[in-house]
This record gives sequence, C-alpha cells and structure tokens, in this order.
Amino acid sequence: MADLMSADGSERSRGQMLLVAVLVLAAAFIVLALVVNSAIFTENLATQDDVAGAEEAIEERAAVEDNLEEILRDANHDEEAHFESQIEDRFSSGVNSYEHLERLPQSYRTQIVDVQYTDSYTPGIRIAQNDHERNFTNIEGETSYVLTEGVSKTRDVVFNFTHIDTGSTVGLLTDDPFEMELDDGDNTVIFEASSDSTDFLGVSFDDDQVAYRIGVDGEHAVCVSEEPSGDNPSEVDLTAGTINGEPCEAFQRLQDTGANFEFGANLEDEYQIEFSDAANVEGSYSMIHLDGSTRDDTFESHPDDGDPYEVDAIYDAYISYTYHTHNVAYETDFRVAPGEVQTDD
Amino acid sequence: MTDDTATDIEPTTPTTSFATASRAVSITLNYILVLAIAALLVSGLMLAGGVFVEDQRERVIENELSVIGHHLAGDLEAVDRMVQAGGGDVERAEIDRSFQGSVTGTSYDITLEENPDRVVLTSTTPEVVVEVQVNVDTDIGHDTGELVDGGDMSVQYDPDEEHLVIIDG
Repeated sequence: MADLMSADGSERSRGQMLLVAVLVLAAAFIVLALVVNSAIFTENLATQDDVAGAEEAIEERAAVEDNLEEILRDANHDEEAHFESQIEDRFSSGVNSYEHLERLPQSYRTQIVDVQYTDSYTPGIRIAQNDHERNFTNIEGETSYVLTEGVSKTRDVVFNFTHIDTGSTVGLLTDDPFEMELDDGDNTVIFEASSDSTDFLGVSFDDDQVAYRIGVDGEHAVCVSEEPSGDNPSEVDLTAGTINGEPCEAFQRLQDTGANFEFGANLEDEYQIEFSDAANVEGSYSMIHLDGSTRDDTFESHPDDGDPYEVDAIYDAYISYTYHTHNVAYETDFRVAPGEVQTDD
Repeated sequence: MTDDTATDIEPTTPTTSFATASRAVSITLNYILVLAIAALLVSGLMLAGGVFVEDQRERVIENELSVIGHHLAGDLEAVDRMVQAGGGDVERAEIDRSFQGSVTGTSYDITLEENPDRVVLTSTTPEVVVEVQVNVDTDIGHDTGELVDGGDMSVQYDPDEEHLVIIDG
C-alpha cells in the first residue's frame, strides 16, 4: 500500500489546495482592482463640466446681434445718408469694423467668431423729425393727417417729447390729446399723449405729470410720467415699451385683460398711420416702416430746417455668424431689425 | 494445558492516546475526505467571489454608462438650444466629445430613441442597458439605423433632416 503520509506526518497535500485557492482569490482581487479603478474614473468623469463653448456660442450671438442692431440704427439715422446704397455702405463697413475689432479679444478666449454681412437686406422708409421745438404737424401745417398708408410692418417707433399741452384751444391747439393711430380697417392701435387728467377716464395725475395711453382694438391702458420739457425730454419707445428707458406696464401689458401688448401685432397687412391733434405736442420722433407710401406735401425728402422728412432706410439686414472652439462649431444666419416686436407668426 | 502457557501472557498497559490512535482508520479515506472537504470549501469560495466580482462589475458598468449618457444628454440639449436660438437658419451646430472606448473592460454602443426622447447605451459583455431621457424641442434622429461605438463621438444637428444625431467622431 502506498505511503500517503510522510514519516514525519506533515500536511503538504492540504497545502496544495490552499495554494490553488489563494491563486484564485488573487485573480479575483485583480479583477476587483480593475472594477474599482473604473469606478474611480467614473466618479471623476461625473464631476467634469459640460463642454466649454456651447452656451458661449449662443451668448456671443446675442451680443453680436445687439451690437449690429446699434450699427444698423446708426446707419439709418445718419443724416448724410439719404439713399439705400449709402445706408447699406455704412452698415457694411460698420459690420466689418466690428468684426475686426472683436478678433483679438476672441482669440484670447480661444474662440473663432466670424461675422459677415450677406449683402441681403429689406428696404424700408424712415419717417422722422429732428427739431425738438417743433410740433408734429406736417410740412403744410396740418394737425390731422395720414403719414403713410399700405404699411405692413413698423419698428423702432420713438418719440422724444419736449412739450405736451392739452386743454387749450389757442391757435392750432385743441383740447383733445395728441393721437397716433394705426388702422387696417378692422383693427386699430392708438397711442395718445395728454397733459389733461380729464382726458383718460379713471386716471388722475398731478399738474406736473402727463399720461400716455395705449389702445388696442378698444382696450386701453395708461402710464403716467413726469411732464417733459426742453431740458428734460421724455423718450417714449413704443416698440420697446419703455418711457425714458424704464418699462411701462401699460405698453407691455393691457391692464384690462392682462394680455401682452405687442405693438402692431393685431394688425393685418396694409394699415395706415395717422396723426391727430399734432399741434398739441412738440419734440422729435422717428419710425421705420416696411412698404407703404406717403402722400404728397406731407414730408420733406431729406432733413431740412427741422421739418419732418422721409428717407430711405434698411428695414432689416441678414448676417452670417460662425462660432468655433476646439469642441464646438456653430454656424447660422440671423436677421437684424432693431426695435422690431417679435410676434408669434 | 499447562500452567506455563497462562503464565507466559503478561498484562499490557496502554501506551497511545485516543488522538493518535490509528485503529480502524483508513489513511486513503482520510486523504480523500480532506481533499473533498477542502475542494468544496474552495469551490464555494471561488463561486461566491466570482458572483460578487461580476455583480460589482455590472454595477460599475451601469454607473459609467449613466455618467456618459448624462453628458451626451447635456450635449444634445446644448445643441438643441443652439438650433432654437438660430430660428430655423442654422447650417451647422455640433459638439465633439471624447469618452473612454470601453467601460470596465467591455465595449459599448449608443443609439437615440424617441417617445420619450432618450439616449440608450448598451454594453457588450455583460449586457447592461442604460437609458437617459433628454428634453429637446428639435426632433431626435432615432431611425438612422446606426449604432455609435463608444469613444470619440459628435452630437450634431442635421439641417437637411432637421433633427439631432450622434455620430462617430
């Protein structure tokens, strides 16, 4: 019979089983080390931020759009530029200058931003008056008249009032508020300015204040503000809904219904713009409209002695925008139309 | 019978303890029993250890795929915001990403599904499936038929199909 046990009684056979078991356990630990390493890497990956550049691409686009709106506004308001080609040249060179100016700071931020004017624009008409001491009558001195008709869109409607006088009937003055009306035959938008607290029912204000009322298809809302003067004019921006840069609740939300007011949003194509009781206010104004025509003897053809005038304008322009970083690429075209109310259309 | 035979037998006193007694013990059987018991214990230990390691591995794979999926979902939503900000005139919007090619030693692939919009990540061995929902306004390109392998990839907007896709980078 084989001697299965050594003479001194040692237990080497059992040691071999333990050796096998230990080897298997060591292999299991190695696999566990791989798993733990993966878990640690996962935790590190989870703490990483999103790719840099995605939000910056959108923010940069918004900043570029704001700056180009100012460039377009300046080009349209340039009194030396009366024709579309001149205005377009000024806008195009403004865009090029802006693009060159922004290259170095962008390179510091490891961004490549390219802004190009696409040579595509929509022509419009700008109606304006620059004389702050003149009333809003036309060049014939009429106090109630149609400025333009057949208009499809209006933007950047800004009044700078230096005087509002309602309640007197001396000369051209009337006791009715100054009124601007947009009317397409079925729908209306009315803007009124008055210094007489009896003009707007339910609204009271002091003698050193004035009231501005917005009416949309018969629903009205009023904002009260300090009375303007030559040294302290009031800037009323109808399309932005602000008075002297501050939001006017009435311009942005009709108090009766709570609906949001968007200037001209309720009008269909081809409406007319009309002034009434235009002698009751003094100051300057400007607006740009798309399509439409003015009647003869309403405006001068260029700025002249402070009389109201109409000139060519760029209603909107199209820009090509490109943004690149190491991980992000964004290319899009967008439209520049400063002061235009965005509707749901 | 003589008395001499009876007088030749001398009484014996015990000289071995119970522990070292080897009467009625088979050495072979002893050896086999020890081996069998040891083998049972070791195999049981190995089985339990293997199950434990495999279970931990699946959990880590699931965690890794979840993290990668959430990063991709964030990129999809970022590209969607770029598309929405462009107002329909976007020609190109993409975010490039680089993840590890395998998770805990196994490869994985990525697809997009809709209803609800989600990113689906599937590992090869073991097969672990992770879904991460995304909230986007742009359509998801779910029917491209392509499986994207893990590693370098790109989240893009396809202006021709007007939908978001993930492709190999």
